[in-house]
Formats: sequence, structure tokens, C-alpha cells
Amino acid sequence: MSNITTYLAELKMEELPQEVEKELAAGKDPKEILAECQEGMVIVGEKFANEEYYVSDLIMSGVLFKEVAALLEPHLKQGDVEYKGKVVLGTVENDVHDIGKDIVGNMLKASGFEVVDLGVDVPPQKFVDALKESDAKVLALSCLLASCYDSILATVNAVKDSGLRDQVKIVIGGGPVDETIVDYSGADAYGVNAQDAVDLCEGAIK
Amino acid sequence: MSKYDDNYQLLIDAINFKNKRPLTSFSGPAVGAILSGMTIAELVADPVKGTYKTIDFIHEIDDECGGINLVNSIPTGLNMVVQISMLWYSKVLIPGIDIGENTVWQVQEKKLIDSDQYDEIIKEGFGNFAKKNIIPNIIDIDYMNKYLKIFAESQETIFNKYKDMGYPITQDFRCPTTMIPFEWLSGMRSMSELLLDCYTQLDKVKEVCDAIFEEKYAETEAGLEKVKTNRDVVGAWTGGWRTASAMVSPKIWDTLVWPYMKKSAEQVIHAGKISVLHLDQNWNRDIERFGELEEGKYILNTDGMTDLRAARKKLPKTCFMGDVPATLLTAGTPEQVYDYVTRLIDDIGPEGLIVTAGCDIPESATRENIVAMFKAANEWS
Repeated sequence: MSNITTYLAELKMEELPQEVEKELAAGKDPKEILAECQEGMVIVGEKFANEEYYVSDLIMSGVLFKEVAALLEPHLKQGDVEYKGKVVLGTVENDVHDIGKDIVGNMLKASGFEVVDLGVDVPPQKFVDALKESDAKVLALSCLLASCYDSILATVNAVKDSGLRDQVKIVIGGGPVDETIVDYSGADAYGVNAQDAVDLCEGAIK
Repeated sequence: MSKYDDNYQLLIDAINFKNKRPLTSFSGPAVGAILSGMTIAELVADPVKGTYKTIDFIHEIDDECGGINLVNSIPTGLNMVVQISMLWYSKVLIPGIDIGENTVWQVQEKKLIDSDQYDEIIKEGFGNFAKKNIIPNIIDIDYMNKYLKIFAESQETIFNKYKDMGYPITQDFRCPTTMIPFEWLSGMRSMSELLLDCYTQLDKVKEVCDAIFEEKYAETEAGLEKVKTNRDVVGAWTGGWRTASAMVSPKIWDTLVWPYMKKSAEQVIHAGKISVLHLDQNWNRDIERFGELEEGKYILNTDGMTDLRAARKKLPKTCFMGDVPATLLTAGTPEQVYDYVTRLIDDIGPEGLIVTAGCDIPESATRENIVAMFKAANEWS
């Protein structure tokens, strides 16, 4: 296993950026570094599944990956990065919470997804427009408020009305979201944490 | 004995695992007023009116569901935006002003301080630091003072009203509590930044947590002294949401969560009060640690994400309060709610159980589902 993979998997906050800079300076292909980071993220996911890691560790892996991505960006040419798939992400209408959404966004990017992040308090039509524009096959909705279940429902219905429902998997997440809300809204699945979100999106594009 | 005295005794029995039937507790700062026709903006603007609407609502459904024994996290005349701002040390969006009139207040968490300000907190004291650097940035001072005045003027009458209606309040604002500094720092620093500090400078975070806790502990001690002999002030709230076991690593939990949570609970217990530990999120990993607290002196108030069946095996004599999920109370049917509660009592037994919503009854819950929740507890056999 490369140093980069190890440092990311073990959440070495200082060592990883230093190693990336060192290897870039030595002429290593940034695409290879990116691939090694993604390998590290897979290990983070496994550790989370085995209860060696917790949400705080997932958040830190996302922070680390973001830092590495910023170091790599000037060295990558357009088309260098191959994405697994595209996800439209946002917090539903009337809900302004962004922490959970941002964690999921970071984790998805770190796992190789292109993320179209629409922000918070997003009206249903804006989600539909983004799906049409991006041709994404996954819609990820964040909801932190019990009073916003109807916003999830309205978004799912807007996707149905647009004729895209059969082509798009809709996954939901956030504190007060479970199977009851999947049934209520007509979404496809829910996740309890950011790793679940990654797994659901991986499943959705297969 | 009065209804209040009966319910008071039932509460003491439940905490001591001597009750034969499950108790019921109404919890929720907004739902009673909303289901009585107020908007959320009106409730925030007139918290006293909202409180009386809630009291009437509880009284109405009391008959319908076969009886409510207790209240918990109910409105007491304090503006919720003020209350939550002070609890989170973050800006709270005001319904009807910052957000829609029927949209619930929401915490807008963003970074308010840098990590190099930890030393300022240690040097100046947390109260002074917050007064200068935090509070003016999260809430309009005139707005806050206006509502604190209203609260001060109305609270005694409101608490007496709950008593007259027969409802002991399990966690009472009159009973102070020290809390967990991590939760406040999370609000001030933002969660991601605080976690980053925990991974890069844990000793410094611990040092600032110690300083905040020590200062707050002394303030709480003085406040507890004032309510020590007041029998009606039953217990105090110590809450955890960002500090749940599922949220943070064992190292962070063992260093920055449990030591403070335990001391905070013990402080309340030593004053002769009940510690109500409000546990949002999933606390499965560490639930056994609560057994370190004195039996019969605390309540674990969980929200449906902690597995109470597993917890009962590890804490056979602990009083649980919970845990009907917000999802069921809002989007479920009365039958689903009734079944959930019945299964919960079947599985963990009625002793030491107070049936209520997970966290609080959400403002979006239906009246039918609230009634079904209490009815199931009262009809359980």
C-alpha cells in the first residue's frame, strides 16, 4: 500500500498533504495520487463499517481529501479525472441546514463522484432543472427537519412530473429520516450517515 | 392526594424502577400551539400565549388518551430563538423574519471563532468572551433582552399553571446544569473545524473545555443552591447531540464528552435533583457508561436512534424516557404509532419507562398520532 493510501486511511492530517507535495515535486502523476487517495477512502469506508471509525472520522477523511484535491487541482488537466457518476445534491426547501449535506458532498467527491451541489433551501423545480442539465442519475436530498418531509415529497413528485423518475434514483438522508419517510415520499432509499450515502449512490449507478 | 402529587409519586417510582405501568410525558415546545392554530412565527413572537395554548392542548388530549402524567421540554414562556441561541452559541433564524412564518426556527451554524482564540477564552473567562465575541454576533441584544424580561415576568405563573393542571416537569429551567463544553464549542467553531482541532490539537481543546466547564460549574452550583429545597423543581437537562457515540470517535468521547457529561449529571444529583440526560442520535456504543451514575437518580431520554432493547440489557434498572421517532409521529398512521409503543413496552417492560416522543414531539406531528402514542401506553396490558 502506498504512503498516500496509508496516510489517508489512517487520517494523518499533517503527513498526507506533505507527502502529496513531496510526490508532486518528484514528478509523480497527479492522477495516480488521486487514485491512491480514493483507495484510502475505500479503507476509511471499511473501517467505518467495522465500527473502527465513526462519523467524526468520516468528516476528517472528507476534509483531508478536500485538501489533497486542492493541491492536485493545478496539476490536473480537463478530462484527467474520470468520475464514477454524477449526483445532484441539496437540502430540501425550507431547510437551511448544510453540515450533513456538506459532509455527504465531500465523501461523494472523495469516492469519485461528480457532485452538483445546489445548496440549502432548494425548491423542487431547481432539483429537476439540475437533473436535466447535468444528466445525473442520482438525486440526493438532505433533510434535518421533521417539518420538511413535505418538501421531500414535493421534490419526488416534481421529478415524477418531469418524466425523469424512471431514470433517476432518489436517496434521502438527515437526522429524522428513515423508512417511514421513504414510504411517505416515494424516494428509493435512505441513509443514516455519509458512508451510507456513498454506498447508496454506488448502488444506484450500477 | 392531588393529581399533581399522584403523578409526582409515579415519577419517583419510575426513576426507582418501582412503577408497574408505563408513564406518559408530553414533550414539545411548539406542537401544542401549532395544533391549536398558531403559526410558528406567532409562537415565537408571543411565547407566553403559545405556552397557554400548549397547556390547553395537553389538557384536551389528556382525557382523550387516558391520561398524561408528566411534561418535559414544554414551553415556559421563553422565546425559542433566545433559548436555542444560548444553548448552541450559534445564530438561530427567526420564523416570520429570517424564514417563512410556518418554518421552524433553525440553527445556522458557521465558524464564529478561530482556534487561536481558545487562549482568549481561557484567559478572559468564557462568560466574558461570549458576551464580547459571540452573543452580539448571533442575536440582537434588544430582542434577547425583551424576551428574557417577558420570561422573567411570566415564568412563575406558568410553572404554577402546569402544577395546577397536575403535571410535574421532569426537566426544569429553574434547575441549572453545567452541560458539555464540546456542544458549545461546536456551535462557535462549527463542527468540522472543532473536529479538525480535536485531531490536530486535542490537548488545547481539552484545556479550553476544562476552563469553560469549571466556570459554568461554579455558576450552576450557585443556581442549584437556590432551588435545592423546592420539591417542584424535579430535575435538570443535560443534552448531547453532536457528542453522541455515533458522531465522535471513542478517543474524543472519552476525553471531551463523558467526563463532562458525568460531572454535570453528578452535580445535579448531589443537589438532590434528577439528571435528565437528553440523548439525541445514537449512543449505543457507550450506553453502558451511564451505569456509572447513581441508580435511581437519572433518566435517559433517547430519540429512537439508540437501541433501547439493547440498552435495557446493559442498564437493567435505569429509567428510560422515549423514544417514538419524529418520522412516525409526522408521517406515520395512528396504528403504526400505537404498534410501535406497544412493542416497545412488550420488549423492555413497563418498569422504569416513560413513554414520550424521541427528542420532542415535532411541530409537524398530527394530533391523532400524539393521542395514539399515549393511548398505547395507557392501554398496554
